[in-house]
Amino acid sequence: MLKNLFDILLGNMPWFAMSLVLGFPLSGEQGLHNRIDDLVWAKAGDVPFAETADDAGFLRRVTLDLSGNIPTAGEVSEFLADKSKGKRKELIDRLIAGDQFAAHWTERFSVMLLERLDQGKVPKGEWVKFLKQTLRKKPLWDVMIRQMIEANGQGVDRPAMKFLGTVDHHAMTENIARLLLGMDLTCAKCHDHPSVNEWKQAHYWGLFAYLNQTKQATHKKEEKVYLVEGLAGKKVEFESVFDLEKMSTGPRLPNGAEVEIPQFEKGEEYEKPAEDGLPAVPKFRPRERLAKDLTAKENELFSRNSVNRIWFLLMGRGLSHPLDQMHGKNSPSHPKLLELLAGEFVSHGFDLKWLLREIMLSETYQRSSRLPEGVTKVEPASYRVTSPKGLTPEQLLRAVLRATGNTKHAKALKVDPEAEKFDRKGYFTGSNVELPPSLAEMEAIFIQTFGRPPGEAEVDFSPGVNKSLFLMNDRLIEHWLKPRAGNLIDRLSKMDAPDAMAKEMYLAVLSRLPEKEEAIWIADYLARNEPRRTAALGDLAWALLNSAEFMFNH
Amino acid sequence: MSVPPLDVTKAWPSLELEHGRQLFRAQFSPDGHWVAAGGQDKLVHVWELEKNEKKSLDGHKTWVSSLVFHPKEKKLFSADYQGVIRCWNYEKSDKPVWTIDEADGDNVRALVVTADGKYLISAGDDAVIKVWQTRNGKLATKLEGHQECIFSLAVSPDGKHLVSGDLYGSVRQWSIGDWKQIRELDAKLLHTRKENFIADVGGVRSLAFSGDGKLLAVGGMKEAKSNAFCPGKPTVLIFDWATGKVKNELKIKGKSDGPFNALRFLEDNTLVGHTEILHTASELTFWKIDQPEPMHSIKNGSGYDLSLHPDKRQLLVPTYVPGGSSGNGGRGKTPENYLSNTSVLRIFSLFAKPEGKKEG
Amino acid sequence: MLGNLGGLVGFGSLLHPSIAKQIEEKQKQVCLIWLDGGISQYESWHPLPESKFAGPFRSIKTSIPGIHFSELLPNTAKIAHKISVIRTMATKDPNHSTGVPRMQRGDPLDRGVDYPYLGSAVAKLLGPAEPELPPYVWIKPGNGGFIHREAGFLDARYGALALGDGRPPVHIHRPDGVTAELDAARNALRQKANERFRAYRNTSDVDAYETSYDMARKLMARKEIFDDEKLDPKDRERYGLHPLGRHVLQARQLLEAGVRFVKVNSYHWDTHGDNFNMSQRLVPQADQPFAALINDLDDRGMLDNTLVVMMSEFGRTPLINSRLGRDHWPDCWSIALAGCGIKRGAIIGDTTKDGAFVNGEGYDVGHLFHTIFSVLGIQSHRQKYRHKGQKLSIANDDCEPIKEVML
Repeated sequence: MLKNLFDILLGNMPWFAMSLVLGFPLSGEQGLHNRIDDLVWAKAGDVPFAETADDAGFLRRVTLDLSGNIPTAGEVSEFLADKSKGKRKELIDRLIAGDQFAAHWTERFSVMLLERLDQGKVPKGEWVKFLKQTLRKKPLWDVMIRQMIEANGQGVDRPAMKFLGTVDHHAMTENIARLLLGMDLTCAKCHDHPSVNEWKQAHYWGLFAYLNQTKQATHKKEEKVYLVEGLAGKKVEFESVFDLEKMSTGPRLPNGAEVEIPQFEKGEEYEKPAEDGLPAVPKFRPRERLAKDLTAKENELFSRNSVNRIWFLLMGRGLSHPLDQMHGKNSPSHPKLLELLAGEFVSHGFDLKWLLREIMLSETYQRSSRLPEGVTKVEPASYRVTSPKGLTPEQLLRAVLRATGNTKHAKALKVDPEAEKFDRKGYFTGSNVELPPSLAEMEAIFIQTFGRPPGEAEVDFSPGVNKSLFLMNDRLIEHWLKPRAGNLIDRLSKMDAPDAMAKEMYLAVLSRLPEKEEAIWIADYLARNEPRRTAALGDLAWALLNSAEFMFNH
Repeated sequence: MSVPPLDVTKAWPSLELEHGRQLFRAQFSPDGHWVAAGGQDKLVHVWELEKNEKKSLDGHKTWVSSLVFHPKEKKLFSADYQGVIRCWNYEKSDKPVWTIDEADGDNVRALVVTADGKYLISAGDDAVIKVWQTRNGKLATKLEGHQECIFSLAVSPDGKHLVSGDLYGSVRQWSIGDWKQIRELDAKLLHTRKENFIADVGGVRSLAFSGDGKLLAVGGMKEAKSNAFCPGKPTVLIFDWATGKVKNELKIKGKSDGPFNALRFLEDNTLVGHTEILHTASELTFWKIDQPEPMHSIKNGSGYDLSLHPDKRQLLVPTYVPGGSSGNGGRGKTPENYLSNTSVLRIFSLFAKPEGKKEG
Repeated sequence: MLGNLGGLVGFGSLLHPSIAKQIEEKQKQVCLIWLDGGISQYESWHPLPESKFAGPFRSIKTSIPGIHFSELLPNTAKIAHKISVIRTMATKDPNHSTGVPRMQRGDPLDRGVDYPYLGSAVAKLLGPAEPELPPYVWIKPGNGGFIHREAGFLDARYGALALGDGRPPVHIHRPDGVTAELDAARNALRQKANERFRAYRNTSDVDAYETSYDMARKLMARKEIFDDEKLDPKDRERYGLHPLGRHVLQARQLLEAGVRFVKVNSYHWDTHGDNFNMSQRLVPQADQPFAALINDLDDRGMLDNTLVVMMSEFGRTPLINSRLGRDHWPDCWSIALAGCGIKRGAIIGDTTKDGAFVNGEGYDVGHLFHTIFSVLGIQSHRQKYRHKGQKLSIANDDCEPIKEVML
């Protein structure tokens, strides 16, 4: 009976439409990636979508997203030549398992969570090592974040403590709210948020109350600084600058109940006595409690913020955007999708690689950035077409080095320990005419030029005059476009046929084959510049490096 | 009365003359009966020590920058930051004997009188040394050569030579009488101009000959860190007068960060100097000049001048006294409680304190 | 160039009023001369030679009967009738680290955000005066580059293009060996490459990218406005060969070219030690170019549309310390303003006899910001910034413009 009704009602409806009408997935077998597509399709209605990205475009995007670099010319050729059906899925799996995955995602998460501030007492290297080791295995997002909040120096989690920075309880409160719950509560410190009704001053202080006992202590033997917890005996008091009403709160998540602060008999407050310079460990440790409560499965604020930010890192915009404005007035573009992703992430144990893989397997992710036929503009939030994302400063450096065939050379640079420290400021003013002596220094130069200032969220790529000037006129770029054994210009200059040159150049720089017309103008430019052919090759490569197509992950 | 033996390690403050404004210069008269001092309040103050009386000579329109007594006559010469020099008969009159209105294009910063008492020599911002007749204040001659502001002058014990020191650390020797430049000594160490400075800092702030005329002490500070706080390392260069070479560089033990404004040799060739420091105590410093480290020092507020009593046993230091409202900003301060800083003329006796005698 | 456009103002009445107004608004420019560390008011604008706190310098007559400046401002004394001086600034911050941002951000009521510095604020509120040029250029000793942080919570693009030691960022110059022709040729290639990419995509992303290249190339094409080599040697002499003289002259060149806001910094005015020897050498370095700039802008007909402000984060203590220095004094100090809606010859402010305290209220930096915004035609109480859904006042709500110095 039911079966017949379905037939009548739904007729020849496509399966994704059916699942919508019915409000539940038709098949348990169906992967999350299909359901992502269903919801995006459903929201868009009957309008044209961009086609699936071609193989070259897909390869470039996936390689940038998972390995932080463009593919080599060889990898492009190979992928294009591969006729197997499952090659995209295999590529994703290979890259997730690959060497560069952990390094690249360490960068991404580090930039997201620290915002390029070298904060706190943990050396940057230790933090990076912690993230890398975690990401090499089976990273579980809730565990990672829990480690970062509860880190107190007992055991291996000291590096994770870098996230909390120095003992600035307000900065901690604001960062945790903004980065882990999607709530920019800065304004709510002094009063209820002026324009977001549901963000209360009590939310700010509730989070603050988990953190205000945190302090630094130096372990005498190790001579290392730890973040430890002092005794939390009473609630935090606060008042609004508007009505001066006195209020108080104990530790409380914005969407949770207030945690009762247990009262102990004098002498009974501590679990462990002071030792080696570290103070006694109290029985009640609110920050540790926060680590647990905040990352709990039940905390939707956390799970939704988590998937929103991961979605953003792959799609270039959050389902809820801006990322730190997750509140009722700022509805997500796809509420059901956000809910679905959050729920599935939780039920898969916050398995990061699984989530990345599912999103990348979706048609939505794999869609071309070229507009559908006959359409001139598409709202980016509809995901009917892929929005180009800017390359991160680190991606850009690696991409330029790889495109111009100078990676090996740059990696081989050895800094003379006797040499004077490289004058980076002088590099930008012109008083230092040396080339940077190491890959690390090059990276610093790229970050300074293309990154956001430390302390600011790196959430969008905004073109800038200084960035364009840099790519046009920087000495490094010029240097890399001079022929040197094995680099791109050297390889090209040894070729004869313009067609072959065009092919090599496009594969290396733009990770695709040139179109016929493009091959022609390359041949044409080279013919017109015959007496200075090597230099002309540099001109062409320069033009491609400076093109929007290179600069974006599209 | 027998003179007690000189022992700077036992030196003690034996007299204090308080003054309600900051004083930068103070000198004993050649007979030791008078003390003259000048500074911010534009007046020249003269104390008659035995009578414990003070009178103030009014005439300068701005801070008094320098003071010197005539070695033989009852005359006192004062100069100011607007290029004016006045001659006073301090014992008899409140009115100047004579006045030079434009002794310098800008400021007069140093005065000396030749040993025979014939000439008063002045120098300052315009870098030209002027020689005046003490009798009438008429210009005798000008000595040109310095390139920058002159801070200090001294006459050699034999009375034959004048030395002058400027901002750039150039010390020049001139012959008295035929008024020629003899040579230039290099004290550039006492001048600093780092790349990011917007002004030259330091200079030769003090000069002193040893009693035998064999040594010239040149004081100031080196290695200034900025042209704003102007903190440096107080430094004295000891020149061998015969060769013109630096024999020794003297330092201080304490924390003072300003220049040596004054230096004096005692009769046993002990050198004494005083410097400044911001918002805390400085010190009066003594060296045996063959040792860079001081042999002794006495805590004292910042001091700007030194004068040795003719008995060679008393040292006069115009010393800074905070008015109680120092430092940044006016929070809690009112026109009623925000008062000028002041000073004390502190006289140190350079010998062991007699039993039962009270300080001050 | 705006300098030429200046001539047009005279014909304002011939133009449609709204167009005339637009031109006028478009023309309003600012030069902020920042004496970092704090110039001493006693050694400059407010000498008070009879005060117990006076330094040793003379006070001299100015071009306004009865008004005296320190002798260290001889050139400015001659043009006192063209400027205003406020001698009763009473600000709140006696520290550099907090005082500098507080003064340059206008000390708005705390909303938990980093307010933009004045130059970025004006860049945001008025936009560029010349579309080809960056709206906010900062000439300073030391290092340069693009300084985002001046923009505060505004988009980083409102930051300052800083010319370190007066030099533009090195990347404004083509690399050696790249001729103008070659540069044009390879940019043609670049544009060609972009066309194809742009053809099938949402145009806004690609356009923004292309725009930044257009702006970069325009800046390269006009890099002569940053080049002080060609400046008239007589002008250099007049402004002074010291860094501040050179940089203020360069500021004039940038204002003439149409840069909206030019900040010129001079450092090391924090004369806790040897204040008088230092002031004697420092203050004339401000006097000379300040007076020259006012005169030049006036001669060019630009002064009525160009606001010039010379100030520090605070003044210096009346009290003279043990190192013959002066410490920080926000309680009663002086700043100078000229041009663009500012009265000529208004030397205002009632202080106690010794100049240590203000009689009455005094003016805080909030008042100054309202004044600056008002004379630039910005409604300082009505106009708001929008930031994360909040409306934020552009200047301190509790303050008002300083009418005494406004036309």
